[in-house]
Amino acid sequence: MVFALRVDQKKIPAKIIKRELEIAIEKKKEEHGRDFLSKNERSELKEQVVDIVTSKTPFTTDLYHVTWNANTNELLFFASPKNAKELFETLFYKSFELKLIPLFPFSLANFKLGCFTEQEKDKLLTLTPSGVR
Amino acid sequence: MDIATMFNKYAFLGHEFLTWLWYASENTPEMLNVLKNKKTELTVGNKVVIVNGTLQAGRSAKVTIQGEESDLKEAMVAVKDGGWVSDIYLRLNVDQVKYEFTLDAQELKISGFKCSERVTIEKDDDIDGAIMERMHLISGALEFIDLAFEQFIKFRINDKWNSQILPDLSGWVCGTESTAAGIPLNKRVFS
Repeated sequence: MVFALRVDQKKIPAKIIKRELEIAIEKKKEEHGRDFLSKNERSELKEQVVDIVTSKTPFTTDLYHVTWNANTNELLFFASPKNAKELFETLFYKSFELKLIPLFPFSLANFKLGCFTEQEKDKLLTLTPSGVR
Repeated sequence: MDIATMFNKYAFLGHEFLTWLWYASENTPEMLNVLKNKKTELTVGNKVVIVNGTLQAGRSAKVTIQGEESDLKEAMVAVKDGGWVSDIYLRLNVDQVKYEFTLDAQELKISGFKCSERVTIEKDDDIDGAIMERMHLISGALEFIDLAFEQFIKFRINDKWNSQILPDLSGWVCGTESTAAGIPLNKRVFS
């Protein structure tokens, strides 16, 4: 089975918010003939600026491919961002009620590679880092 | 034991595996003939990252050797100083197919994957076949990693790891041939 995880999100650089906020603050000060704005006024202005900039920013789409071999219970997720992986794990569980087991060195040896006897697996558990040199 | 505990407690296995992979590719390539009826050749490419410090405590310093003109001797010095490989750029040939990718120690995750065989789609009807072909090509590299790791684990849980392989690896790192088992490295038979 081949499918993809699509993530649409609006990425707004903090620099743009900061620049637009400075412009909005100066404009308001001019309109009211004042030299400064209170903390609450600045906070309200920031909310307005964020809303306006967000509405004008288009979505960016990320697509992460997935292959799932249901015969071997193996799934490959073609993405490196950690948040994409976590999102996929959550969505996969919600969709199929199946929990994914990430493969890393220990789990690969313990779960995937079927060539080890129980005795060898017990030995694996007792390993400690090698003292080279 | 939960997944997170296993991940942290045995993180050293990934680092030791990549360091061994580098050692084996240069000294005992026959150890890496893990794919049945296929000719395999592995060489280290132009990027090696070494971590130095307490891996399990998460306190570590990184040394990155990267670039076309990079000299892996510098990476070797970092290993000699107690470091372990955390990322390594590999060139793998399986029969006629050439792969290049970076392998990371923590998750054995592949990045920057390149394959010499290209799959082209000329008609919409070709898509299914192209996906299968692409998956077949990718699985060639994944199978090698799995089997090489299996080979490493077999050595790692064997008494020979401490008596033979580790002294050889140390000798290679320090530039002095190990005399473990009283047999020169190039005459050893690993099983």
